[in-house]
Amino acid sequence: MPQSNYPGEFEQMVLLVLLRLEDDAYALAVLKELDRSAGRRVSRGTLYKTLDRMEAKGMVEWTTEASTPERGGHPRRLFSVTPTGVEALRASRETLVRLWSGLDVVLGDPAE
Amino acid sequence: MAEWLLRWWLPRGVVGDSIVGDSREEFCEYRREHGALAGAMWYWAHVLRIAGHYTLGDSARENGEPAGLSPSQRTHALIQEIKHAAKRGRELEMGSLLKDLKFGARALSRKPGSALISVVVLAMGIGLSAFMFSLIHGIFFRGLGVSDEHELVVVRRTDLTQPQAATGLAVSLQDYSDMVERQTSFEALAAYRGGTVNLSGTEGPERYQGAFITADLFDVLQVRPILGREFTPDEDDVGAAWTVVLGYQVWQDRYNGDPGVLGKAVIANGEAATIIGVMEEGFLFPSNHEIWLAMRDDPLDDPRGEGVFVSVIGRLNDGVSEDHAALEFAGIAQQLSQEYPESNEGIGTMLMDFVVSQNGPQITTVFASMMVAVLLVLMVACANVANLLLARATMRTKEAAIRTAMGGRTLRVVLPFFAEAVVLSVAGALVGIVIAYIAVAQFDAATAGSLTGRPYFMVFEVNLVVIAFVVGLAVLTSLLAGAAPAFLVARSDVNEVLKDESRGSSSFSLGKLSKILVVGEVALSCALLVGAGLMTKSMINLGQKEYPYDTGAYFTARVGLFETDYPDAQARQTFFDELNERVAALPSVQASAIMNVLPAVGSGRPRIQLDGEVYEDVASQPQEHWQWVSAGYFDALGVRLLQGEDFRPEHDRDAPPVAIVNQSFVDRYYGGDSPLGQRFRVGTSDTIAWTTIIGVAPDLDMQGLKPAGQPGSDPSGFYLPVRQRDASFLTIMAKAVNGTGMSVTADIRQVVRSIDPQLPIYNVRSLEEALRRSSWFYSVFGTVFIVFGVAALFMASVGLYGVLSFSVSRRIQEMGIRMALGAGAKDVVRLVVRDGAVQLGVGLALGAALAYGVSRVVALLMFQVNPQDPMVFGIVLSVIALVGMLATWIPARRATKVDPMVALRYE
Repeated sequence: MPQSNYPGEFEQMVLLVLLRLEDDAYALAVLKELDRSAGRRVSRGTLYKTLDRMEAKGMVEWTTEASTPERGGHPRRLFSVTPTGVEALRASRETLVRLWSGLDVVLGDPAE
Repeated sequence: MAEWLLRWWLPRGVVGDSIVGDSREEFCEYRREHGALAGAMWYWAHVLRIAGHYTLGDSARENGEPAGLSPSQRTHALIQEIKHAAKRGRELEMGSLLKDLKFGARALSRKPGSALISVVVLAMGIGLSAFMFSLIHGIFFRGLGVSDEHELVVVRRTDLTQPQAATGLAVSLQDYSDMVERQTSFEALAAYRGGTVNLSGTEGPERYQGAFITADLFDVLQVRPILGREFTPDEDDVGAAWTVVLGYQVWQDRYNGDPGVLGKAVIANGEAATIIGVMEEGFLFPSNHEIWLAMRDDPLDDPRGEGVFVSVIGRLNDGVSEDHAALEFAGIAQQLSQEYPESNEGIGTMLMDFVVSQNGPQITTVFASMMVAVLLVLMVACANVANLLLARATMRTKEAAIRTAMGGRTLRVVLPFFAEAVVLSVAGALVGIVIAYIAVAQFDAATAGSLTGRPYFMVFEVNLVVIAFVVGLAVLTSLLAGAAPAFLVARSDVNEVLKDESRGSSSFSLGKLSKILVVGEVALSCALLVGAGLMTKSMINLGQKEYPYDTGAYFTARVGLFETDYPDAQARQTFFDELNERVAALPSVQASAIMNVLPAVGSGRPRIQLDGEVYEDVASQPQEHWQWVSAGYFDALGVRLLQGEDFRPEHDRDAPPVAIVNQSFVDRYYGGDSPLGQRFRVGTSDTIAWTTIIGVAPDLDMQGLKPAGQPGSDPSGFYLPVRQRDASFLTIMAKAVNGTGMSVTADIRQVVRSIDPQLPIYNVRSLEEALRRSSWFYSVFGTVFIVFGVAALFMASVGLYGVLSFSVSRRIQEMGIRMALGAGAKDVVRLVVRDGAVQLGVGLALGAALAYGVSRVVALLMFQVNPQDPMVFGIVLSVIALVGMLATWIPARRATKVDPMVALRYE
């Protein structure tokens, strides 16, 4: 796998959140979910830029959804993870699992 | 606004749109939870954060990637670091900061020339801004200096039936007394009116500017006499024994500060009065008034809406807002207009701050535009220093790159650049305060109250508030001037810099920013210099203004009569006739005349109605200048009438009214026809007797020195015989035989004394001096603008020179190679000059456009100058071009002196 397609830690989190949110994965929801489930507070600009970057890497794609009055006629982007993104996550997990294995003595069992 | 900004910042298309939508949605949510204000603040902060991300690049940190080398990442890292440091407070230890400052000072001292220029430039910018701020503070914000000033409110009258200043009109005495009875908003509502006070008694006659006040005025202002007592409530009753409170200066000058002055009997305006108190030094309420007498006018003396008009000021009751009071007074005005429709129809009230009521809208425009001009100068200054620091920073990008490469934190690497800016700004601020101090002192003297009528509470001084302003400016200039070099370093690509530094100019990426700064400077100084040029021209016009008479040969003085001594029009008439005759008979006097106002200082403009015209309403009746003059006025000035005849002594109140009109008046209303025998009414009522035109005079500047385009700036007007009017205050003008007006002063004083020993004359000056005084406005503000313009020109040249000489020094190697390869001096000069010329050209083009805008503002301050005067524009543009070319040429010449051998070894 080429180096550039390897997702960073934050990118992994975003990808996982997108997968969790399924049909409701728009930016503000991602932001809230990140905070809720990962305790990670990031600025909106960071998230937008990360999403753009991952789109460029082919890991996410988006479609637009019709606007609500509250949004003043501006469209909403719904993000989803592409097969490439899923593949990248999988590869990342495999690598990590490989690296983690056998270290339970030092690090403790995650299940405990 | 914020959304528009956001949209502008974000990429076009759906991506940007959707982010705007998200923001909007979140904003609505936030606002629901935290309220509108917090919501707006959140939104702005949000916009700035997003803008930061989209301008500076994406986040290296959040990405989990190692701190990279791309410019955007470096900038972001810098911002993160500053944030971090600010949060923890520990990173910016005093020790290292001090070290940076010391280092900055040392670095600057190695290049004292450019450091000195920077300090001078900043000192000019800061000094002029502080100067301007002192004036604005003095005029608008200082206030009266009495306690709880926010509770003081002025009540003014508005009148729907006539045009008036934005600050409204004085209140009739009858309305005032009704207001006092009906209102509940004010603790007390006091009234006053200014007037001349002739004080006589054992000390001889003297005339003062005084004020007639209700007994509670000092209470309302919360001021107390330093000696004696204030007025008791019954002392402003009709028929009460008259009492006087002296101003400090009067007490000192007239009574040598004698405490025994209390209880002393004096004659005030011909009536016996008793001195009861002395006010504190410097208290001259309402404006420049030196003596206060109880106002005992009876509202019933005159029909409602006529007679005495007063200024009204009150102190609000605790807990009553100005709005509440305004509502109550609107109600009172409505009651009055129902009860007295004859006099009060269309009369309303208007409440305002005292200082606001004293400053017309024109002064606000003038000072606002001057403040803008000064801030432009300061911006030019910052741009210049930023430029000079940029030049230094670029030389040190290599050093900074090495430090970064060695693992130096970005903040640590850029701090020294800010440190240099701080050192320069502090030095500039110190010198700037000195400049401001001198300038403010000069301005204060040039606009002294005795010359300009500037109210006593407008004090121009460099005080603590001004110093605080300067400190703020110094911080701002440090940030502005230091930001460019700091970002240059933060954004520079370490690899590129290390590779490229020795090859010359190609990595000088912020060269573009430098050039934009210079273009901006040239444009700004263009605008300021055009302003200065127009001002200079206006001052020259004023200086060269020729009058058809020798202004130095005329003596002028004002004489005022009081009803107690001169009870009726006939008595006053007799006095003035005798005065004029006896002055004219003096052997030292060639001719004399009596008038209500001197020629060419500007006169009033009553409404008139021409015979045969029908006017829809009062507002459509024309206004014309007028002057009341005695027979012989035109002869005394040596002016010949163009048609008809002069006034004669027989033109008195018993004779039918006559007038002499001037040529502009004839041109306006009668075209080519003879106006002689035509009639008009002076005033708005249709019961006024007709005035018949008996002569035509040439235009004699009846409009005074009003700037063109202002109401009343045209010369058209008419003269009435002073004997057909009734005036208590008139001016005597006498032409001296020997050609020096003031030489007859003693003779004329003697004449006045022999007619009435108790009568003082005042405003004794030559006509030349009187005219000069009426033009102080132009000369003071003209000088200010010229100083600004010259400062701006200096700065622009420094900027241009700095940038070009730097760029030449950066390209010495290139020049050397070119010359080694056979390029002649001419080619090298062309290369450098071309660089400068482009910036200069663009700057001049922008500047001309900006100057066009500025000229429209300064037109308010100019005397007989076309705001788009082609000569001024031409001269300014060529001067800037010339200075700019010189600033370009010097570094270009230096480039030709490059020894190829040295150049190749350079660096």
